[in-house]
This record gives sequence, structure tokens and C-alpha cells, in this order.
Amino acid sequence: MAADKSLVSGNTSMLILRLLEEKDMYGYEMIDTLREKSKNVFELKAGTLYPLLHSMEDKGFVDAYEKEAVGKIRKYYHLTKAGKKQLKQKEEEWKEFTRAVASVMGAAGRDIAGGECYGQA
Amino acid sequence: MDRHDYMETLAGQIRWKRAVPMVERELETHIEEQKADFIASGMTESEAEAAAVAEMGDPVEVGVDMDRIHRPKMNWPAIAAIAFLSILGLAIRCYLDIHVDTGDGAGFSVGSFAEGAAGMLAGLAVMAGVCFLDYTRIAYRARELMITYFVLLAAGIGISVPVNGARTFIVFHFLQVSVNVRMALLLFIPLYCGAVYRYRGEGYRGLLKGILWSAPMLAASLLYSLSAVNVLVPAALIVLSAAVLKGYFKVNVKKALFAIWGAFFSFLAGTVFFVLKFGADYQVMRIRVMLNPEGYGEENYQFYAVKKLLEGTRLVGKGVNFAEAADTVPESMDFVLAYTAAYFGVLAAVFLAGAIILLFLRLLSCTWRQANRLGMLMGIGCGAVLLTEIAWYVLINMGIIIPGSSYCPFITYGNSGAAVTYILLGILLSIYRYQNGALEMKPGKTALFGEKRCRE
Repeated sequence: MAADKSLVSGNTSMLILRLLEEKDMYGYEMIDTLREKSKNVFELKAGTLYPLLHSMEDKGFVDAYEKEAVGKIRKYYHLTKAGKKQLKQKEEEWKEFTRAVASVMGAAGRDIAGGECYGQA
Repeated sequence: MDRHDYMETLAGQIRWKRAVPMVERELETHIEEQKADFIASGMTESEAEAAAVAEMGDPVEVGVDMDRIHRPKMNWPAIAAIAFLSILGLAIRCYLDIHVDTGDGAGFSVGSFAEGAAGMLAGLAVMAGVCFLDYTRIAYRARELMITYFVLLAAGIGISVPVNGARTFIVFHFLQVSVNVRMALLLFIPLYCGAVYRYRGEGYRGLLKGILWSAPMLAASLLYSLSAVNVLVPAALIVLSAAVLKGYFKVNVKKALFAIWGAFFSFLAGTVFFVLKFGADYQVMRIRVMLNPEGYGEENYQFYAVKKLLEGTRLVGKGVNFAEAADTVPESMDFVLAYTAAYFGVLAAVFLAGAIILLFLRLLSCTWRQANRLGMLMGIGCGAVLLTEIAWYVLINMGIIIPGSSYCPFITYGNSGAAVTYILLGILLSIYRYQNGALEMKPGKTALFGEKRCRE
């Protein structure tokens, strides 16, 4: 089933921060990893990713450095302390949001998320 | 749309042209990666490139987003703090000049409030000018500039004036201007940072070259004013340590830091031993007094005068010893902070010193987060050298160590000191301003001439 991507567009930064929590990555790698982890649901465009990364760098959530790999100079991004804090906050907001959605949908008696009401686990 | 058109359209949206190469480089690499993947999945080269460019999204939209992010930035809070502290320093000096009768008759400054205000405005204008200059240009020719500066200073020995064993001033009679070389020596630091920056990525050999490039500034200090070493050496050590900690030299951090600081302390101990054994009488006495300030009365008159002034200070208001001790401190100009504590109260002095220290710590912390390596090093150097001056000044003004040559930005009177302070602050503001678009240079080249600045 095709997922409506607008559901997550406001939270792309959370997903990027989460990826960087595991290891430093360069832009192309982030798009690839995100696609793989979300089983092709999140197809992030470079035109969305790079302005987002640059703005997160500006805010101090990520640091950038260049490293040579297989003959190319790639710009890697690294999660900073402020970025970790931001990720935690975003995660909290996301949990609250999904709980709220779950209770509304649950109250309406709908069967969602493959027969189980998510957010109640 | 081909790759060239895409990049041109995108770059056209970014008004701050310095940021363009950095953005272009990253996106070009992305297109390359995507293109290689498409080719691997069976497309021809031209199909793959067209598909990779199409994947990037609308160039106008991306360019507009980048334009919003990449702008030169002014550190307005720091500028406001600098202006406030400049006015506060001037006001305190002038107030004390009017209300305190110092024994040496020199007071705390020279000239009227209006003259001081004009000097301050000129200093702030210099700072603004430097802030708009491209600081990377200094690093581009850092080593040549260091040598030139040294040669000029060495040539100036002929017109220098000795004061208490140090050649502190160069006097230009035809201009009726004298320059305090002790302060002018601090301008070596940004140049030194530029020199150190050139050796990044060169391992221990690069680190050693970085250490050796401190030679011109140390030699100039030996020629003019040995006391400059007290601030130049700690600042150089901080710059080298920062470069090691940030991984610029690609060496083992613990080993390198141990080597740098170990060498410094060994050299310090060796120098003290050498001077005590072979130095001139006054040098031996000076070291003895330094090591044991309480043990000497007659030789250490100034130290006791400051201590007496500070005894009986109150949190707010005049100290109990003030009337008796106010006119006993020689060279009162160097003790504005001590007089502030004695006249206005300890709280005022803590506020004054605290605000100045806080400003520099804040500037250093902004610099530490710099992605641009040259900006990081130069900022750390400029901040560290002034912060070291402040540390000595506060310790001397608190009567903890014996008085020597000392300077505190904003509160010590002197045009040379003020000019140097505003130039260094200008560089710090320039680093902040261009953090999103500063050019880096190719690493690993060691030839003195013929290097090119490039978009690394």
C-alpha cells in the first residue's frame, strides 16, 4: 500500500537526526539508508535533504566535515550534543502525536495498523 | 535540464556568492553518486546523468532554501556587549580620574572623556572594518606576513625607547605617534594560527612545523618585551592543543597533548633554573620574588601597595583602607580593576571582570563550534591571547601575583592596546560572519610561495 508521505514530512528532521545517532553519514547515504529502513516508504529528495541538513548545521544540531573515500570527497554529518537533545524532544512530540491519533482512531472504533490500535502497546 | 543548467539555476538563487562553491560541491558529489548507481542498474551515461539531475528536485526551490540559510551573519549580541564594555571601561576610568587622587599623579587615563570617546569610536570603526574583511586572506600568506612583520619590528629597534629593561615603544617622531610594541606583538597570533593551519593533516611532522613557526613571534618578544611571552606562549599552546583535539594534525591526541605541554613545562623549569644560575642580578631577584611574593618587602613595594588597597574592601562602596592607600600604588593606570573594587566595592569589580571574561568565553565557544578549520584556529588564537592577558591582569589586580606588564581589554588605558583588541575582536566577528561561506585552502603544501587559495 502506498503511504501518504505528507504524514511524515514535518518530521523528516527527526528521521535524519535518528539516522545520525547511529553513525556519521553523507547525504546520499542518508537517502539510501532511509529508503532501505522504511522499506521504500520514505523516498527523500536531495532537494529536501540538503537544505534541511544545512539548516540543522546552522542551528548546531549537526557538525559537518569532509572525508575522502574511494577517490571522492564526501561531506559527512555528525550529530552534536544539541542535536541529541533535539532528537529526544522530537521523539517525545512524535510519541504524543501518535498517542493522540491512536486514541481518536481507537475511540471511533476503527481497526487501524493491521488490526491493532497502535500507540496502545 | 542538464547538470550545468541545474547548478547555474540553483547558484543564481543564492545571493551570497561565497557560499555557492560549498553548496555546489556537495550537490555535485550527490549527482555523481546517484549517476554511478543508475549506470550500475543498466542506464547509459547520458540517461543516468539526466535521471540523477531530475532526482535532485526543483533547482529554484533548493536555491531559495539555500539562500535563506547561507547569509553572512553578524554576532549582534557580541557587538552590543563590546560596545557596552567599551563605554563602561571608559566611564570607569574617567570617573576614577576625577574622584581618586593617585600618588603617581598619572591617574587612570590620559586626556578628557571626549578624547577617550573619540578613540573608542575609532576603535569600534576599526573592528567593523576588520569584521568585513575576509580573514582567510591573512592565512593565505600567514607565514610571509609573519616574517615581514618580524623584519619590520627588527628594523624598528633603532627608533624604539627602552623602559625598565624592555623596549616597549617604537616612536615615530615625524608622526608624533608612539606604538606600544608589547601590545602590537599580539598581532602575531592570528598570523601564527594561519601558519599552523597550513600543516594540518601532516601528522607529527606538521605539528613540529607548527611549533617551530612560533619562532618569529618569540624572537620579536626577545628583541622588545620578554613579558609578551607570558601571553603569546600560552595562546600558541592553546591553538596547537585545539588543532590536536579537533584532529587537524591526524596524530594521537593524548600523546601529542602530553608532548606539547610536557615540552612547555620542561622548558619553563629549565629557563627558571638557567636564569637563577646564570641570569643578571635583577632577573634572579625577579624570579625569586615571583616564586615567593610574600617574602620580600622593599623589593616588592607595588605588590604590597595593591594588597593594602584591597584589604578592607566592601561588597558595595569604598573600602576601609581606601583613603589611606589610594595614593600609594605606583603605576595606578595598570590597576583600574583593583581601584574599582576599592572605590565602588567588590561587587562592581566582579561584575566588570566577569562581564569581560564572559564575553571572551562566549566568543571562544562560538569559535569552537566552527566547521571551518581556519576560522576555528584563528578564533581560538585571538580569543585565547586576550583571555590570557585578562587572566594575568585579574591575578595581578587581586594582589595574588606580583605586578608585571599587564593589560585588560576595555579597562586599561592605551591606544595601542585598544587598537590591537579591536583588531582581534574584528577577526573574531569576521570568523562568525563568514562561517557559512569561508574558503579553505588545500592542505599538505609546504612551499612558502606559489600556493593557491581554492575551494577545498
